[in-house]
Amino acid sequence: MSHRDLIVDDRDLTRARSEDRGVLSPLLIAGLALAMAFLVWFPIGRSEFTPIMWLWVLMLAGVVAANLLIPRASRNGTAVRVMSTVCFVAFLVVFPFGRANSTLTDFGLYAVFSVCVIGMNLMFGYAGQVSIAQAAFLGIGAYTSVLLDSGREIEAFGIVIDLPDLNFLLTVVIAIAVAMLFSILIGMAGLRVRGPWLAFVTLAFNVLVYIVFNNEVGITNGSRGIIVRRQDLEVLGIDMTPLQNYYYLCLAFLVLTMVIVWWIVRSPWGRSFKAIRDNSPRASSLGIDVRTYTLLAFAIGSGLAGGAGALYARLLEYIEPRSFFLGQSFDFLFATVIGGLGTLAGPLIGTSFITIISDSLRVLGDWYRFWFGLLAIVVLIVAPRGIAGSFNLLRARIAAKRRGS
Amino acid sequence: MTVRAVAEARTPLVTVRNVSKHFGGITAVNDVSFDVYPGEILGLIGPNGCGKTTLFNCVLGQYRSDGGTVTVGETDVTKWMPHRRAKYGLARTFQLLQVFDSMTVRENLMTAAQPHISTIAGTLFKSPNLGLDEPVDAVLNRFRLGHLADQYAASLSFGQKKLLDTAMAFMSNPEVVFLDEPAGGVNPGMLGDLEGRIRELNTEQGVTFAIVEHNMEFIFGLASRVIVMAEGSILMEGTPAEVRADPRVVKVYLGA
Repeated sequence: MSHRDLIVDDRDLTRARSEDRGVLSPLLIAGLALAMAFLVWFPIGRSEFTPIMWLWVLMLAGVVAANLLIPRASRNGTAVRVMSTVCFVAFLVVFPFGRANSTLTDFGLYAVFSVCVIGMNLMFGYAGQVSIAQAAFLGIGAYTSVLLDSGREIEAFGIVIDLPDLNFLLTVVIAIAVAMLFSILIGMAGLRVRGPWLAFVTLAFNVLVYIVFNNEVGITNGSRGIIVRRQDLEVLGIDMTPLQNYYYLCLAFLVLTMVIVWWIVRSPWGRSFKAIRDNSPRASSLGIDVRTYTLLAFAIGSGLAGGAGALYARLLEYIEPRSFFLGQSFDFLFATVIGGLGTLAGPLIGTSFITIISDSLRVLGDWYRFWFGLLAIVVLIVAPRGIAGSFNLLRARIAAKRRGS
Repeated sequence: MTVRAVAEARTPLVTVRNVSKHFGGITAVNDVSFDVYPGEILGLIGPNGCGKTTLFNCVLGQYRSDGGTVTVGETDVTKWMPHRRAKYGLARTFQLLQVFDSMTVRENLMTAAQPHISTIAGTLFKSPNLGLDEPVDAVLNRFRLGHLADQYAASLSFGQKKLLDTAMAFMSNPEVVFLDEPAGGVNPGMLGDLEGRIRELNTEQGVTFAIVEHNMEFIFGLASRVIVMAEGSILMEGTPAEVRADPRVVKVYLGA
């Protein structure tokens, strides 16, 4: 099964293909539902449980039911999509409000990592190119932004440089630009190969970037990392010292990313990406410049990670090379696949697994990574299309049953 | 005056000169030259493995040929990438079905019609359809795919996919369309329909065709000129009647 088979588009499939049958037998659906229920219940039961939590659970159930039962293509379907998005954003706005810093950090990481995973999904899910260097671009963005507004003095290649103290938002823009630049450079070389080979090229790039972060002690402070103070950080006149304010900045960045990527996906660019993913020789024979478009998807996806990196640094107030090593890239890859390749909702679902859910599994002790890995294996076997993809398949099947075909 | 003479009286649209293609020690196409004249329907036949599809791939850029030139009008396109040739007026279909499964029929056609990436950049924040609805509807009607417009390509039958595949080649208003076995796997009932579509596009819109085909009746009924290939080289060319009567052709292909 190639990754192309794993992609189920956002809308109703008119007819589920015959080989899909059996993948989601009722038993497996029940098992998956049970696992999901556990994952929702577990963090709720652990701490910060309030009766109001039931309202959120009720809302989640309502959103899921509405999405499952109302066909996508209808006018009501559009309303359901808009309402679901509003409910989702409302949850992210209201839920963390006034909560402990640990929760705010969790949600902040969720917002920042979601942007990375959305970027990865644009490359992998929509344009069909696997890149395992998303953490490297996160790191490039983080270090770029941190160095540019620190006012520090660094020593690079024997030369002492006084770093500028730029406006934070400007450094975010520069971080995006620098990540894009690196992705275009690596893409020009790497995109000569495709599929697994491209994955290896990007993997090597990630290792290379890590080594630079680790060894260029004069610039990056090496493995000791850099402490980044959020104190006195002001964005558009708002004091970012309280974590809560900063969280809302991260959330705004996520929402902006969602809107931009939604627009790109339905634009002619998005159509070209999908065409290249589905069948690149055919796309090329129809006049679609495969190389340029793949490079474009790569640049946008990596640029998003770069911007996320700039926000990530101030969220944790500390960066070190280890945060940008392969493990983080594989986490992003896992989130992309488990959420559902080539879907808009997929990254938002998948990222919760690598942030909020995996964090709440931490109470299981040293073995939490083991259970997490086991969960990943089970979900990928039961639902190789990811959660959003399987959901779409289920909806398509319900719609087909209702039509009586 | 024969059809061939009429065609040759004009300047060729596509000129292929001395094109060769080797795979390892195997010579798939050996020093082939031919012309495609404006407004004609050129047939290309030959036994399996004689290099027809490889020749198409060299002409349209999927393969880089090991020698020779391909010229469209006055422009040498030998070193161009396939997408650039497509935008210059050379469209094609492939032997195996090639549609975009995850998109609807309409989106498939829209993808085939959209302008170059740099042109799109300016219109990215306007309508996603780029004002292509009208040409897409026209092609949908011409190929009688209108009722399937919003179905996913993955859910179409083989024949419907084949129609869509062919229709996509016409979305860029091409000068020449290279069809690789358009009749392959199409049932006899739809074959007449396909023939009608091709003839219609040829006479009404002046689209030039070059067609690789194994179905002799289909190609002899349609083509004004036929080239016969054998073992990577051109064996002969002529009108369908000439080709049908030639003993060499009968020997390598028809009679064997």
